[in-house]
Amino acid sequence: MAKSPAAKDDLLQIGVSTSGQKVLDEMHDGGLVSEQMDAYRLAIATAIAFGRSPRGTEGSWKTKYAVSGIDPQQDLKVIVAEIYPNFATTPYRAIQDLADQGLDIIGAQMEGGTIFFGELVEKINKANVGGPADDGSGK
Amino acid sequence: MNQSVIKKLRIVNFGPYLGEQNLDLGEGSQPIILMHGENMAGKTSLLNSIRWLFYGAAKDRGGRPMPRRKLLNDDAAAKKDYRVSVEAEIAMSIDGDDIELKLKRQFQQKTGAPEPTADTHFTEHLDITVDGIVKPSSEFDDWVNTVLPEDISRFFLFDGELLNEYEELVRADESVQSGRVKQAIEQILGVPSAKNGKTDLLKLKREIERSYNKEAGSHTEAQAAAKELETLAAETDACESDRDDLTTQLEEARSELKECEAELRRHTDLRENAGRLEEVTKRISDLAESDLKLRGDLRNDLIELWRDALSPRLEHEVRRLERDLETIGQALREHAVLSSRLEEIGISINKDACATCGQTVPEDAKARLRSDESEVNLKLAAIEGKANVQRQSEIQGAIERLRRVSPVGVISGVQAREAQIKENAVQVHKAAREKENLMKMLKGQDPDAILQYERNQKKLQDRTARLDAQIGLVNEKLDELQSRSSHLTRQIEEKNVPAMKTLTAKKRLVDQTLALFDQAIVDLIDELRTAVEEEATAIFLELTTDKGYEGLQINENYGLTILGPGGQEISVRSAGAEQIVALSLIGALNRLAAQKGPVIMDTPFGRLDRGHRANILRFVPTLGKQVVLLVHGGEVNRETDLDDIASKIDREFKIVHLSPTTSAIERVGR
Repeated sequence: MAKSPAAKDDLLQIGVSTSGQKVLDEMHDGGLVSEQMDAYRLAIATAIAFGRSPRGTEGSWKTKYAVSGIDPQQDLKVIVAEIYPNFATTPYRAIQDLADQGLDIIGAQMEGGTIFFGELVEKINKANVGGPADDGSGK
Repeated sequence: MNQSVIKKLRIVNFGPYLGEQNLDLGEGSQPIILMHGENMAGKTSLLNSIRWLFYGAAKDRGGRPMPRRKLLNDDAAAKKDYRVSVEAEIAMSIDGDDIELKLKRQFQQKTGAPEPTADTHFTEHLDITVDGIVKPSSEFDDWVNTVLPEDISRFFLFDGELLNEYEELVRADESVQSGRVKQAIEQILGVPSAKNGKTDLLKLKREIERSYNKEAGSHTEAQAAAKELETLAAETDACESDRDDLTTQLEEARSELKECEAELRRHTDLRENAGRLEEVTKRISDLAESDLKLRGDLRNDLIELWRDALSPRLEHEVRRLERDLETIGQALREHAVLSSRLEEIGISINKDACATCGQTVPEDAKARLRSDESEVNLKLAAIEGKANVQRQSEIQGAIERLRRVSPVGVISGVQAREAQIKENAVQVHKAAREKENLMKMLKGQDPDAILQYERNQKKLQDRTARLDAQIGLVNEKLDELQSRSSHLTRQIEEKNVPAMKTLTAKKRLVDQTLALFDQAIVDLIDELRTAVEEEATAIFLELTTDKGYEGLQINENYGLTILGPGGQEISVRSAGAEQIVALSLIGALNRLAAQKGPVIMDTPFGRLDRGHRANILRFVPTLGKQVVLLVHGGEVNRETDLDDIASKIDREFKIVHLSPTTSAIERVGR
């Protein structure tokens, strides 16, 4: 088990990897979302719903949002802290990584610049019958 | 009386008739020509070939004009032979003069056109010869009108399978259609000739009135009235001039309307395709608009969709935490029981008396209690970690926090919108393919021109209605001027000016003649209507097998009502009765017509029983000099049904169905 970092190590601003940004651009440019932030939040939810865990590894992130903007009610923070106790003190660090994993899942399901979110949620529902499962990507 | 007979008919590649078909129809020495052919063999095509030769339009089963490509034989088209022609040799008798008329209509592929599909891919030619002299094609319609004017053709070129058209004619209603039918019927009966005579007489009346007014103006005692008469005459002239202008405009508008409708008939498929293209383009645009809106709504839904996406996982987490909570609760309860037991054992051992009953505890029992004490202590140690009150409180807090992130329920909306977006995409794809095909078919043609014809047609229809109304108003004004003029004329006559006696007499004579003519036209129409009623009744009683009927009653628009016993009107009639009434009207009009053409009847016995069929077979020879009957075996049996009319049959033909796309006509029997 990874050693829990101190709360002071958590982030005030979270970012996105180059590949994650590509998916966000594609979704925004394809008219799927009004704001990239909507896709970013959905990506976090998707990763959590598919049973992904924060990887706790350092990556190359380009700063994108203030945590107060992406999670004004701190709902995501609460969820991450509850589901991933190891990251209870650094939830936004976990969220940043989960967002990237979620964008990875969404990107893989996009075809020709489009995706049907109803189908994505349907897959999430099926994956969660009897407990959280994965998105079928093997990650 | 004008009379005409089709002597020969030559058909090339028309409908099921591949190549050339030559029919010698004789010269009408006996009236009946029988053409036997089973269903789908080509009976209606034969009728259509004559209709197309005369008027340039053939009708499909729905009564709609058929595009040229559908007139072309499919096997001929497969061989890239795109010529279609119909030619007739007609013997005519006009006021005692015999005329030999040859009419030919043909179309072929336009030079440089692709494989022809649309009307505009073909070019049409008309040929006309009168007594061996070639006439300009511009005279074609005039000569066709002499043989059989289009407006009355439905009474001669009779399609039993389009019988509802005739039934509308004989229904005694007041529809717009009945006005046109009335006009057509009066034309067939020769009423317009009488109306033209009245027009000539009116011109004479105006000339005499002018001389009369001029003369009256030169006599002092009649000057005042004459002056006023002059003013009225000027007003009358102006009104008549207006009426003439309006009538000319009306005739022009009707002629333009006719041309416009002919153009539209010729371009039926192009028009349909152009209309369809407009529809499809609009559908694509509507779908794009709907898609835009759906995607906008979807983007709004997506703002909160993350909550619904998380919901199953959170539910799962909450259930897990609830299970943990249950485990802790159970451990805490067990811990309490064990703690209490440990306390009791301690009292019993330390105080040497039972904690429950107070009796002295023997040594062997003490030994057992010590063993129990060890066991309870072990159990307590085992659940110590689980019975954690602080964790219990933490979990309760966690459940509360997770439940705060509740789903918002936008997913059902997202799914519905996405399903609609997918359906729209399928529809757009289909529509785009249809549009592409339509564009291909319309390539090189101008669909807007056809739409323009349609708009013109509507404009011209409105214009003719407006002009009709204006002419009505001018006629009312003329009646009023005429009444004032008569009053002034009487004033002048009362002055008894000797020099005006001759003019007065002339004027009276022309007025009386005109009044007589007016009355004569009314009487003529009344008489004709009565004659139609009498003829139709006679024929109806001859044709019907129901002896309870008394006859037919005609209304102003030539609608016919069946009269039952005691002259009682029969309001409900069967399909068979409708057909008998329609045939009675057709028969009456044929017998009374001022102009007689060949009669061609396709499937005339379709809805009739054996008794009615036999009656009609006996009746048809009276319809005219040449009656072509196109019948199938179910209607007329050659072996058993023709004995009564054998002597009236000039010749018989059989339409042989050679393949699904080809038929041929052979002469048979007598």
